[in-house]
Amino acid sequence: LSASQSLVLSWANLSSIRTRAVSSLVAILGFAGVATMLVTLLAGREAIRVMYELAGRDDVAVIMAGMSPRETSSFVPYQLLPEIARMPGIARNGTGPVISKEFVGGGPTRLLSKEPGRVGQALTSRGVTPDAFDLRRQFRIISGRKFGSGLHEVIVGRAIAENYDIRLGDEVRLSRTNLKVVGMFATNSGSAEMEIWFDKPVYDRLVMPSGGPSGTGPAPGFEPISTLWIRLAGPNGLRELNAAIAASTTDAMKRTKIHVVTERQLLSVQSHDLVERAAKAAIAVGLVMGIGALFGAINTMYAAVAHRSREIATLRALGFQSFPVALSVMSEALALSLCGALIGTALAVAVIRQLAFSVWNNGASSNITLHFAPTPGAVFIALGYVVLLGVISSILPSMRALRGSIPAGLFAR
Amino acid sequence: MTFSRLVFTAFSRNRLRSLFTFAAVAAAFCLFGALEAIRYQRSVPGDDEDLVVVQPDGMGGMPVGYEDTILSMPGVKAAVGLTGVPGLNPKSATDQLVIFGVNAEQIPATFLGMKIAPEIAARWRETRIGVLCDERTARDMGWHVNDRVTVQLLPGMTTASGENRLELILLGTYKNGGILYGVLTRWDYLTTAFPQNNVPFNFFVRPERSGDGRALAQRIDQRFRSGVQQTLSSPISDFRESSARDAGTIRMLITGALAISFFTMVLIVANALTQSVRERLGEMAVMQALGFQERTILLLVLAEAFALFAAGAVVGLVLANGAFTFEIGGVRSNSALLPVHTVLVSAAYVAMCTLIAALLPCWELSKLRVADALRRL
Repeated sequence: LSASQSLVLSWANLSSIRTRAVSSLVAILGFAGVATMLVTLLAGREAIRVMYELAGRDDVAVIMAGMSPRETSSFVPYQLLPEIARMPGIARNGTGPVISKEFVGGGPTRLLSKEPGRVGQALTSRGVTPDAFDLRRQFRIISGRKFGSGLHEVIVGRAIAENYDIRLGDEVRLSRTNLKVVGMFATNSGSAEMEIWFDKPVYDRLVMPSGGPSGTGPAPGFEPISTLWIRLAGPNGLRELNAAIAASTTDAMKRTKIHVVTERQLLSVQSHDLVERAAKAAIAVGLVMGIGALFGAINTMYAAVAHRSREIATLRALGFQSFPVALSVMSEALALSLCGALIGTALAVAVIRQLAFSVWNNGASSNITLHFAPTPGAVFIALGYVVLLGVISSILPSMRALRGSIPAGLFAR
Repeated sequence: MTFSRLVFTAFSRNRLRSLFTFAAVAAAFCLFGALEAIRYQRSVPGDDEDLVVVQPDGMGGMPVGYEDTILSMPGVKAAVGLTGVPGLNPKSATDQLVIFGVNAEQIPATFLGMKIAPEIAARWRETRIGVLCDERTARDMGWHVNDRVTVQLLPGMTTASGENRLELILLGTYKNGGILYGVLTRWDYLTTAFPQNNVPFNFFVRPERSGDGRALAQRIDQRFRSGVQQTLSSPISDFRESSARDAGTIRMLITGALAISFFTMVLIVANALTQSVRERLGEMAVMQALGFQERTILLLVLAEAFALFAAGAVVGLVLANGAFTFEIGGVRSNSALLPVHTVLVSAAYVAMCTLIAALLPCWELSKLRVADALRRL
């Protein structure tokens, strides 16, 4: 009986929302605003996670030196290369171990400024060896071609090209040398798309000229290496490689704290602070906007109860139980919040899908450009939160509806 | 006195509604205060906006003698080169604590935004292992002025004497908000500890006349065109413009959040005021019948709206100040108080919102026929 009474009363109540159109609209707009902002902020956080945390793999690893998670702060002594290449745990192909020696400069490469008298934008650059192309997730050349070996040519990540309007044939400058952009590439992981890639021998020569300001050039045979990207040989590869590094008696291996992390671990550490900050921002803004919308909705529900006071008193006088009456008030709040949540999330998803944003990722020492990722998870969190606000907003008005005196309600104007 | 009593009586008629409406206003102003303060702090040009940044055209830093050359150039008021070594940050797994080496004589005149007191600058010149640190880093690290601080170097890194740490004395703190933050040591001390680390990677130059930055930057590049290392110089405003372009979407998001928040708040207040006025139509008709002018009654509604927005704004801004000071929400702030600009803009918004929210109830009131309303009593 109670269930059928609840259904009938809720339906009757929802049918009469039209008579409270203005105050209901206020509540819907409040809820829609919260949903829009929450989806947007969560989609920003998801974008960072998609780029870093979720993109990392366990079969690709990075050998680094030192304690910092930044590749720019790591310098692997070149003398250790032969020993590392012999270590177990690294996958091998027809030509030997799958290792890409990489050198990350951290920003000395500049775009040529289109405005006279201005210095061009500094971009993160990386010298890579041929295995690098196989070690990035879904690396593909989307236009142009790869750089030629030994030539003053570079390829540019898609995100950086879109962000700074770089085109094929443009030039970038490094160490008083202009290099031609011959290709654009895309990947599905990390911040590679925010980098300019060079042929490593060319890059090494440009950034480590013989004889710098201090008057000393690099030692013969010296090769600058930030990190070694490797493919692991099967599921035990990481364990075997770690054991081999730990067992090494070479002094430089211990002194420079050589260690290996999977790509998943590296990207996760690099993005941890950024993801945390994005989540904090989403919580703070969602909470404050939610509080505002909640109080607006409580007012709306109080007004609805006041509007229906005679109807509610009549129902109670006729013997309707308290629960169906309270549920009819709650159903109205639920309907308004659901309506607002759906409008807000739909609006957010439609708008932000096309939007990109740039943030500085301190964990990777790189400026990254991301596309908002309004994942189903982000949408459901926003929907759930707004509906919860709706339910909360109906609690006090429901109590007032049930506690009011029946005679007073019957004679209410 | 009677007027203000009428306003507050109106609120006490439906205390819950007044309280919730007030809370919605406070929430909106809290969000506005915190976000607007952050936006303002990032966009406003500081005392160091005139500086010129000199960078090497390529890797490897620049000869230290460039500092004297730059200082001898006409139109240069002060200049300082920056070297640095990375230290471990005990508060973060990813951030490093950079120890900068600078010319202690030049820093106060170059970075005016740091507001380094003359007595601290004088003491620094006398204390070789003395350091200055920005207020936020000192707070994060739990350092106090005159503390002996130990900075652990990165693994494998040692000083000339074989130590893996630096023992320093914190002589004073400087203001955040400029372009440089971190631990500043004297250049002569740092180069003794790290003899190989004597190559400045940046110079910061203050022109004698504000606005001369671009011309000075070009002269500096011209001067070093045939030097050991060529330079790329630009006024710091170029960097601000570039980062502002990058932050375009984030700025749009902040504006969107504020617009949505204010739009909703104004609707909530307008709706509550309209309900309140509708409930009191009879009462207001009696007031008119007793001789109150229509204008006075409209002013009463306007005053109600203003009181609601003003009280909500005050509470909201106080809460925002807390959020701003304690960096709730993960955004770093450079001061303990909201900027005056934010408070002034809030006051303008209070006035604007009052007018918009009172529009609908005032319009309804203006249509009031006293005789009809009295008959319905």
